Amino acid sequence: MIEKEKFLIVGGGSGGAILANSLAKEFDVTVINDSPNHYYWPQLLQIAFRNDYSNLYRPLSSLLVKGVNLIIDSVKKIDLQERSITLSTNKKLSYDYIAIAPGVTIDHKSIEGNEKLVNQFGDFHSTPENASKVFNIVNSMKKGTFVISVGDPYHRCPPSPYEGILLADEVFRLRGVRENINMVLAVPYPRAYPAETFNEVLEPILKERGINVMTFFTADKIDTDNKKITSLEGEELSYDAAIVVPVHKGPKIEIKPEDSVNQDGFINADKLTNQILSYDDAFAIGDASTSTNAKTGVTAHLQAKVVAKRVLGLDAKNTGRTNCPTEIGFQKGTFVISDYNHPAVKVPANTINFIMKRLFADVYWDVIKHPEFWDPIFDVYFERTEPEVLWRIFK
Amino acid sequence: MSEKEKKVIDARGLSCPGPITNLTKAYRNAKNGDVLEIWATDPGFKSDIKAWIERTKNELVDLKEDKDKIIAVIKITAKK
Ligand SMILES: Cc1cc2nc3c(=O)[nH]c(=O)nc-3n(C[C@H](O)[C@H](O)[C@H](O)COP(=O)(O)OP(=O)(O)OC[C@H]3O[C@@H](n4cnc5c(N)ncnc54)[C@H](O)[C@@H]3O)c2cc1C
Repeated sequence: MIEKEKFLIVGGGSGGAILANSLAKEFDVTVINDSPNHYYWPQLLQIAFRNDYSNLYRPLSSLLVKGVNLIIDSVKKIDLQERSITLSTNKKLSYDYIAIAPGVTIDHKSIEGNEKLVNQFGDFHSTPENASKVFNIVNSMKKGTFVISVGDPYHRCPPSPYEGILLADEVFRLRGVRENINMVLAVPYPRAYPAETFNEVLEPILKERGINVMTFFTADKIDTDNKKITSLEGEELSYDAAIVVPVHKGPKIEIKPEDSVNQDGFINADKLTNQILSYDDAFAIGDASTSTNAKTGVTAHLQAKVVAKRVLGLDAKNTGRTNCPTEIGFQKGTFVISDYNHPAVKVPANTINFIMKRLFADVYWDVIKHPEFWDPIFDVYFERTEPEVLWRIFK
Repeated sequence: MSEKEKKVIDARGLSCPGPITNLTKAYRNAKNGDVLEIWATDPGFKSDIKAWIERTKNELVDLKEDKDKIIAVIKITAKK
């Protein structure tokens, strides 16, 4: 019998777990994950605004198919030239192929004062504990100014700050305190939503709900004593309660050669193939990679499928497809759907889109575990909802 | 300034969330005197970059259209 080639996957999140399960038959696959659990990060919004922990995590071992090896440890070094990785225990592993998918590192320190602010009011891009602080504040605030301010435009899930402010609005309205609360969304962009076409969908919704939008405002410093945020662009914003979407950085892994990571620690990978520099045996997928145009699970998933096909000899390429479900509160939602060749489609908000988002959270675990069942279904979904097709419908 | 010192931000093909996001990300790491060159294909980029310059008071050195991209060259002068 021919021995299978060794395929190491660093990180068993959305991208890594799907890739592992897609290659289990053809390769000797080992996943290294620094936690025994696999987290479904979109749930942080549900914790922050609904106190719903239902889909937060599952043991990673329960999501990997038979034959995939799992090591629970943290990878501290990767040497692409030597084809080896080093674990925190100093154990070294070698590989024939490697896919690096460790997601992002949340860096509260990059914005002065954000650590203190998070301690007070929490956020919904870091931990379940911080998300629960948001739940406490939106359920206790009675009056004043409530701010969500984006400190990093390259955060996970582009629509999440908008979902955050609209879900907070829903909570305040249901509690009967909305008229005493001034709501402000401060963003680094020239308009509420950076993609102009999708802004046409979102801006009227924010307006109708009475949310004030501050443009070209990137949170840079927070003075928690005087309750003021200063932006990189030089303006000030006062708050009574505030959530700042924190700076996202690449993984805390030493990767050699040094030019395989950028200034923020993200891994330089080709946007079409996910290949790292000229290493045809090394790929970076998902949030940790510069190849993702939007940090979303859908992107990580689609990139995992491209890498799986490429290592099996097919000429698959990323299309840059995004498919970000966007909840706007009161049981309605829309999607940010775009690709490298098409701007975001103006998908109207409705209840069907909201149902799709909620149902997806429940099937997520099955999608990870059974690519052979879901792949053909997603192929049809992505083909029928191609931006090219949708643009003809939603002009 | 030599070509080597110029930082190029390739935002071609980005429409969700858009090229201006890459510029903001780079702005956090930039210092006064730095020159950033942004490549974009998004047609809205031209007016966005002008609005950004107006608001942040940095310097727009050049804004032109190549055959396959829009190129903006920015000098960082207004960082506090
Ligand atoms: C509030 C919020 C809402 C979101 N909503 C959506 C949505 O609606 N739709 C959508 O598609 N996406 C959404 N996302 C984004 C989505 O969660 C991420 O894009 C996705 O998880 C990225 O997958 P990944 O595999 O790159 O990284 P992750 O899923 O983060 O996985 C990385 C894994 O690597 C492990 N790891 C990290 N460092 C090491 C190390 N040194 N050694 C070993 N293991 C390591 C981690 O433990 C983790 O298991 C949302 C995110 C947030 C925060």
